[in-house]
Amino acid sequence: MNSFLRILRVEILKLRRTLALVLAGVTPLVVVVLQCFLVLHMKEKSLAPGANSWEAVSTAILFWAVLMLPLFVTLITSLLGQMEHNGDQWKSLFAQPVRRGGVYAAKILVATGLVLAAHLVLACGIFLAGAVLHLAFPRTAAGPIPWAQVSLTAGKAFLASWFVIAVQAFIGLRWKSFVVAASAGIVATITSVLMINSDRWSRFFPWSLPAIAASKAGTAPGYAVALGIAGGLLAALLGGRLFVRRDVI
Amino acid sequence: MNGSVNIIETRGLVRRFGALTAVDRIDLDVPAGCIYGFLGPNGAGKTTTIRLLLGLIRPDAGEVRLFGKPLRGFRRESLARTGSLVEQPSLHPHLTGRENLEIVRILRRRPRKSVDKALAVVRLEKEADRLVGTYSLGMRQRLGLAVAGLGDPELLILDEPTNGLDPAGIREIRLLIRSLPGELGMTVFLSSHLLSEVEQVASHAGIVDRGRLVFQGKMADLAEMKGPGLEIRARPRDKARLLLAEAGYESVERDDGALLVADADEAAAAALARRLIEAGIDVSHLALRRATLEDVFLKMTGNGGERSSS
Repeated sequence: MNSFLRILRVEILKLRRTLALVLAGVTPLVVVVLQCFLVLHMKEKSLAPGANSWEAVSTAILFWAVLMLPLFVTLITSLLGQMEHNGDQWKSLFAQPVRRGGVYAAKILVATGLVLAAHLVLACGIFLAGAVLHLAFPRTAAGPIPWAQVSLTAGKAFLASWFVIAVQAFIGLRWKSFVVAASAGIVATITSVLMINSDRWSRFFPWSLPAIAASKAGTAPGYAVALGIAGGLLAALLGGRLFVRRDVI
Repeated sequence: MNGSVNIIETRGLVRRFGALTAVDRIDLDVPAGCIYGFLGPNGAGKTTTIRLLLGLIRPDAGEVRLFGKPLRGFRRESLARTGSLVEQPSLHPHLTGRENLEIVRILRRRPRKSVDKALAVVRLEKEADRLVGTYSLGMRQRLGLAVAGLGDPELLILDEPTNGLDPAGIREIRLLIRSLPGELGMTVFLSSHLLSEVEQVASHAGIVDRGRLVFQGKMADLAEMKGPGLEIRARPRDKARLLLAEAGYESVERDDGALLVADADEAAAAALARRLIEAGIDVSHLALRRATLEDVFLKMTGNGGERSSS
């Protein structure tokens, strides 16, 4: 097995008994359930005769992308960092015959994988919730189920989140204190929410990109996806370079 | 392997932290197949040196060579042949003992059965599937040693390996370490702040003090430096030390307050006794004695205060 794959295998092994997988499953479902409550609250309109229950629930992707996704990324990346900071794991990890850059890349890949898993859960949750609502309110239309639209929107939010993943991963891996990573993530997320309506600023802000990508307006989503991917790759490379050069004390 | 090859070799190794020079021009020579005791008081630079040997930190000057190759450029290759335990073992508490070993086994590309073997060597087979978070300090230390020794590396670098162990555990580890070079042809580099811990197992020794290597050679050579010495209890102590220094005898202060003077013979003892008393110093005890290795160590590191008394 190639050395990078071995590092990756170890990173996945280390996730055992952590909250990472639970978070990836629970956080998107919380958003879907909340969206269901919202739909039920406004059922006269959203579940009117002939309405599409799946479309009503699919707004969950936007809520997810605006608020829950950046917070989820913050939690996941800090978890991956804390795992090594606690008990000074770095020194024993880097005393093994591994490339430090490989470890860094594996951490980012694992974080990205968990974010992808969360998006899959999100999409499945929307299809399921839409079906349940349709069965509960037979007056709504039986279809068409917006498979492509939901998958595409969730996919765009995922790709646009690479930038945030790379930045938060660097913070989480670089600083020993959980407070640093958590504050950065929370402050940036709130900032993003506050300026979501300002096109001028939010379009360059990594934490806003998933929300822009998930919105339906004009050409902005494509741009947010492109910047998310490019920024993510660049931030990962830069972060990796800074990380590799550090003393392991 | 024979003694002519140095498994660890450093030349002019320097590492500074701000104004502090933690490692100051250290030249280590660790021959193949030896047990090398790396000694010094706490804070002398032992751990920093070990971090340099493992490439965890970079030197400000000088070079590290492991297995005859510069660490710069051959880091991964050299580390694949080196097992290590630096300070407290780094273990994942949310994983079992076996899973912690499995991590190292995968990274080091060792066969599956090496995990069982490592567990057996430190006698943790029964606890292997328990979470490390529930382990006692001693069990963690043993698992740390199992991690270091997994897959029988050619070089074992252990930083204070008996920390946190009870006397039985210390004895066990000592026996284990002593058996390694013979059985597996391993070279062991072992740091400690206690001479007593190393003198029984090590064939070679290096003594470091304030970042400088003050002795390096065979353990037997160190033992030969045990000359006759003088043990003095006097009050006030500072004045006594000053007077001894004026008379040309360096003294060190032991934990219990006794002053030790190396290389003092009978005539010197009598002369010093007279001088102390004539200067109005109360002398309650003055005895000629054969110096122990501990005295040699103390003298070299010039510091009795930092030493733990076990």
